Amino acid sequence: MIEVSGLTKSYDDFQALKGVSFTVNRGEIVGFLGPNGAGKTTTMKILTCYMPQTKGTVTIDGQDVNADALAVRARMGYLPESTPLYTDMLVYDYLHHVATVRGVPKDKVKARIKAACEMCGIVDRIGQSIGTLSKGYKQRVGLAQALIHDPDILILDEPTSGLDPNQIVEIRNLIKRLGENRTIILSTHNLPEVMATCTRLLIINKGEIVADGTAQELEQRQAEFERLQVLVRGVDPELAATVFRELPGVKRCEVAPSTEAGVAAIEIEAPRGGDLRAQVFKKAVERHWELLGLTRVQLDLEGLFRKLTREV
Amino acid sequence: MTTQSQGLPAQATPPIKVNGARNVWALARRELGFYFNSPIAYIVITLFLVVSGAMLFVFDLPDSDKSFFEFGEASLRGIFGPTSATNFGGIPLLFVFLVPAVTMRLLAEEKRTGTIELLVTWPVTDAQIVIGKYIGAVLFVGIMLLATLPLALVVGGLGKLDIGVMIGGYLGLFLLGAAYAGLGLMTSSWTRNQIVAYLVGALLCGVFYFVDGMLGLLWDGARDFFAALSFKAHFQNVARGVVDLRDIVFYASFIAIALVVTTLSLQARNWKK
Amino acid sequence: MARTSRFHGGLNLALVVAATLAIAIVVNVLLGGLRVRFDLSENQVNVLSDASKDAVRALKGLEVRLYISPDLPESIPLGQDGKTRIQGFAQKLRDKIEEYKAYGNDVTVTEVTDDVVKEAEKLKVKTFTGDGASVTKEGALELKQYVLGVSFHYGTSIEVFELALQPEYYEFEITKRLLRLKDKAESALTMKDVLSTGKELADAAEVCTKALESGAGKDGDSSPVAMMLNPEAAQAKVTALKAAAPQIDEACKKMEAPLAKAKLLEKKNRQLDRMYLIGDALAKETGALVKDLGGAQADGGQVMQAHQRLVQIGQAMASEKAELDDTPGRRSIGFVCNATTFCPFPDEKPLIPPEMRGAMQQNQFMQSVLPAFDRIQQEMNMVLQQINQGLFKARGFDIVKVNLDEEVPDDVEALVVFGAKGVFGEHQLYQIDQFVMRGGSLVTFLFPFDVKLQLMNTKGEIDESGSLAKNGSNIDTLLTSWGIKPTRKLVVDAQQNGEVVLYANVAAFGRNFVQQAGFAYPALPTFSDFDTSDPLVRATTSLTLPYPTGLELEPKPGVEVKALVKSSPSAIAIDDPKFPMYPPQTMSAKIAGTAGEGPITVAALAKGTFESTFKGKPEPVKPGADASKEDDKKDDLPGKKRARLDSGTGRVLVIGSNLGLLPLSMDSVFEGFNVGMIAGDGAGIENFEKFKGYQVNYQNWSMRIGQVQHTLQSNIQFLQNVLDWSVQREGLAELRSKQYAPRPLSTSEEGDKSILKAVGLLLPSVLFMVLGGLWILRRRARTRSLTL
Repeated sequence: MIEVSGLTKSYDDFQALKGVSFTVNRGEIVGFLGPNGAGKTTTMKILTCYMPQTKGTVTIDGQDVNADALAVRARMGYLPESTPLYTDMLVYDYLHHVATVRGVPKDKVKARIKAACEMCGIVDRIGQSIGTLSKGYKQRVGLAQALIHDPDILILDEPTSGLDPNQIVEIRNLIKRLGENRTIILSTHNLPEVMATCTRLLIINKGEIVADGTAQELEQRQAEFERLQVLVRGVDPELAATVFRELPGVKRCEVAPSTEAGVAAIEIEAPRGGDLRAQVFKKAVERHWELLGLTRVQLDLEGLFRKLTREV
Repeated sequence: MTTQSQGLPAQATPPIKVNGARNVWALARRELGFYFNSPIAYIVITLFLVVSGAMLFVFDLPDSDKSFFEFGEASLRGIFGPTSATNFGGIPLLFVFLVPAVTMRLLAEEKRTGTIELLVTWPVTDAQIVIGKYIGAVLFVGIMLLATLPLALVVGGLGKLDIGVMIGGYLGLFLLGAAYAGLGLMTSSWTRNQIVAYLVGALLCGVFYFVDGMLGLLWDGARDFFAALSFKAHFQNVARGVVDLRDIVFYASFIAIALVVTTLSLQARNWKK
Repeated sequence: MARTSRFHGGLNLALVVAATLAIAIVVNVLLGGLRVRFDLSENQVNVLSDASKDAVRALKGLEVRLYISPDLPESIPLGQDGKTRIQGFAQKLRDKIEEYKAYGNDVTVTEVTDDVVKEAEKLKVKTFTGDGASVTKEGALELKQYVLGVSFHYGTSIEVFELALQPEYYEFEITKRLLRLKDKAESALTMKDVLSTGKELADAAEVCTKALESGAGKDGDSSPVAMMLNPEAAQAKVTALKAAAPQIDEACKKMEAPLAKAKLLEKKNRQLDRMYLIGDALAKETGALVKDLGGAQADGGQVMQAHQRLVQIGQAMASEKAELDDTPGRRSIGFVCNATTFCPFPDEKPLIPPEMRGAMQQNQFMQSVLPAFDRIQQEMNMVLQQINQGLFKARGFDIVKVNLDEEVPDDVEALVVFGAKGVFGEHQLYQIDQFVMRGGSLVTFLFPFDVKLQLMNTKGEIDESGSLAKNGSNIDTLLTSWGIKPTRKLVVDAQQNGEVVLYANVAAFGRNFVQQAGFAYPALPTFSDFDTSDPLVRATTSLTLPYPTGLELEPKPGVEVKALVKSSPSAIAIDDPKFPMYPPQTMSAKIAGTAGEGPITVAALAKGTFESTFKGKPEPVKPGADASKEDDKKDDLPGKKRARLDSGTGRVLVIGSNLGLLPLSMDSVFEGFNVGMIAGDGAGIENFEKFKGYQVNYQNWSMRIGQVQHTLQSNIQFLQNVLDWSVQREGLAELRSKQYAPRPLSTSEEGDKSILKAVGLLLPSVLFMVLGGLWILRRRARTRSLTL
């Protein structure tokens, strides 16, 4: 349905996207994941025809976002980051306005407003001025405006940022419900959100897609490795890391932030199979280090995310 | 969150009926609604009306050193302003300061709050956005003018007012306000800072208002040229009661240029970098 | 929308903006030539009227020269507060001329740019002074001269519009000149001989004058005073003159040929005749002077005085020639000065023949009376001169005095019989009749009633009474026979009327003061019912006519008669000479409640083919025709005697009031005076009361004028329109009323003004805030009641 290929975007001398390609199928809820500045918002702005790409193509059901901008926009609902709304308007008036501009037929406007408000749970707030609403409700109004013309594609940029945990849960549930019969792309830097709502993940880092798949697929990919967390005392953390790195089979070994003074926390990653724990223990004894802890952690999505998006 | 869980029936292909006129009108209505939902607009218009009333009844009339009652003539020249090139006053002058204040937020505020991002991703063209906002502002200017009509009624009650000249004057003021609004909208599209938009807008309006009075005096040979560019010179024609195609074309071309530039500067976001 | 690179974007922007600008400029320039415009103003004051368009269209190839000082000040010292703003006038004048050009037929407009003031003076375009002064070479202060005017050139004729300092009259003034220019150019062709002779004469006189001037030497002041102060210089000049005598003689002899030519053309043109007289005097006196100079015993003082006089005469010739150039096509309006009409010309004929004055000197009584009579006559003449200038000449009307005992001059296009109180002789009526039959326009302001209110008696007291007396002028017979019959019934209106200004007692500080005050007076009815299909009254909104008579329209075959001004329905007509006219309240009370008889016509117009009143009757004999053979001879001059007409196509306008302009003439003031009353030694004493009466007559004239003068002021426009109509310039009447649109405020009370000011300041904002409040309340209510 949505096909993105070879998308690049440069701002002056900074390249925000470096050839992003992906496809989104009908009915998917795609989580667009990446740290701040990875290119999520840029991608979304290109998808929604807000601004043009430098290179590459984006088509939606074969319609090019540049050539058929109006047609593409008409079938898309968009909630930008930080939910910009006309705060002087009443919720009802605002939705009415959006419905009109969105081309909802006059006789259906009221029904559409009702449906959208019911979906987003703001029926009792329609007479209120948007400026007086809480952040959570504003977010819902933002969602309602994106839904007002019953689009088959929803693009939500950071729909839960800045909300309190309860609100986050509510919005996530709403998105899940919306996703029952729509294609949704939502961007976030929050992994649990993706876990909770998305059927598919796209991880982007420094303008490149670094991972693409369902949560299970990614988790399986991640499960090829195991991770050890080592706590030692009486040694310089960097030295310890260097020492452990030389152990056979170690794929990666880094100093992790420590919680106790004088205690070095080291993270070691190695392919599943060979248990490293014994070797680590031996090495510590050999060096007369006080081994305070040695835990094996199964790698999860968060680890993957961090791994994929860490600065190298 | 409500408990209902009925999903919205998303259509495979939503109806794409982009009705330009409807969009433009919706955008214009929203702008007009903004003005009348905000107390500042009421304060500004009230001040405007009081100052207009004072210019008509209290201050000395333009091109004279007598006030309305000393002059003893049933005319609205107090609010239509002076006729000589080097004098200024009346609503044309007030508009230099007021109209940019009306238009300053139109695009600058959208940019500042980010609502522009939603606006331009709705199925409306940039030109429709510009025209819609422009119409909203112009309607507001028109309502400001309508609000001064009680002044005309008072004068009409005191003596026999030349209705034709009055209509001409109001038409002239409206055209002038519309041209100012075009300039104001244009400057509003150049920045995200309303204050900057206002200052630049008022400056531009002022320049085009007095251009013949200022430069025409410095540079005698070009007086006609500047008069041809001057809002004031064209306003005076209409305000005398003469509706001349040339003046209307002048204002229309001015507005057209301003709107084209505004549309282009909205489109500037599309330039690949 | 196009998605392009930044460079291309910038380029695109520049291109699109440039293209838009270019289109805008092209459209503006293209449409600049079009004149699609509507004038919304009430009288279309901004665009040219049809009369103006026609006037300029009729002058194919008209050349217009604009004289505009480049450094016109913002205001000039003029007007009651010594400051008249003239800023922007130049542009208004240019605009107006452009407007004419647009409607004209091959009109060229040039703006004189170099040495505007000098160029203007060449064509006698008047200049004016501003505040600025400069210092001349001699160190004297010289006021800076400015010019703002236009000259129109058509064929060889020129018309000048100078001192264009009233933009609201530009169109009127310009069109007036264009109409005149056309007449002038056309008549100039038929008057070629006269004009060329005049030119030759003036040129010769100039050569002669120059010779006279240079003969006395160029240096020094040659005024008699200077001569007296400096006898040596005077003597030197006389010597110089003596030496130059032959040259002077030779130069001035050249005047003989043109003088002879002018003599041949005698009686063809009054102005040329006048020039002939002046030229003749110049030639003859110069000859005498030359003879004197040749004589051995020439008195220096006398010679210099004669010389000075001759130079002045010679110099006067130039302006006489200008006047001659202006005569072609002039449409003169003749004011009939018989039958005690209002005749706005000073009457120079002395009351007492000079040859009798000597005898009077012996009479003690007459010695005291005569100076008083002389003073009255002087004052009267001054007043008449002022009226003549202010009411007519200054407003562009060329009025001439017409004595019906003589033939009406050829260039008189209209006759005005203004307020005839007396009776015309048969022959005088016949003259008027024939004038109309020949196609002339006759304007008659009737003077139907002599209303006397609060006048002075011979004791010098104010008489608290009023009287109504009918004047029975026989002009009515002519008018009636042409279809407009004056009823000689006084039209009064208790509801719509003006005020009469009378003296009233005011008791204050325990004393009685006499003060002038206005009183609503039914005998000054106000009219607002006009036949707007006629340009004459199209733009007139209101007239207040003093003591008018009603008119009955009795159309005759071939004559179209229409009522121009009618009273309101509430007016009634009074026939009773005993009707109480004073005090005004009594009169109002008397007619209040009487059923209205209106509308009554008070001004009417008849045009078409009239039948002569004298048809089938013998031609009236001119008085004194057989007594004085001299006069007969005059009439026998070729072209003088006109054939009698039994019918003709003319125009007659009758206004049932004299606008308050009472006759002021020797006849009316010194009514019943005859030389016999003062003849003889002890004569006159028995007529003492009568003599006092004359003085009172004069005083009462001004008192009676004063009572209704304000109505005249508002009727002046109407009067001017009537005069324009009379010389077939109705277009101007329309233009004049177009320019006049006073829009006075109806309030006057100081208290009202402050209330109105407050209302003006607060009403719009309060109204607006109320509406705004309602809007906000509506929004609130809506907010609460919004449901899905």
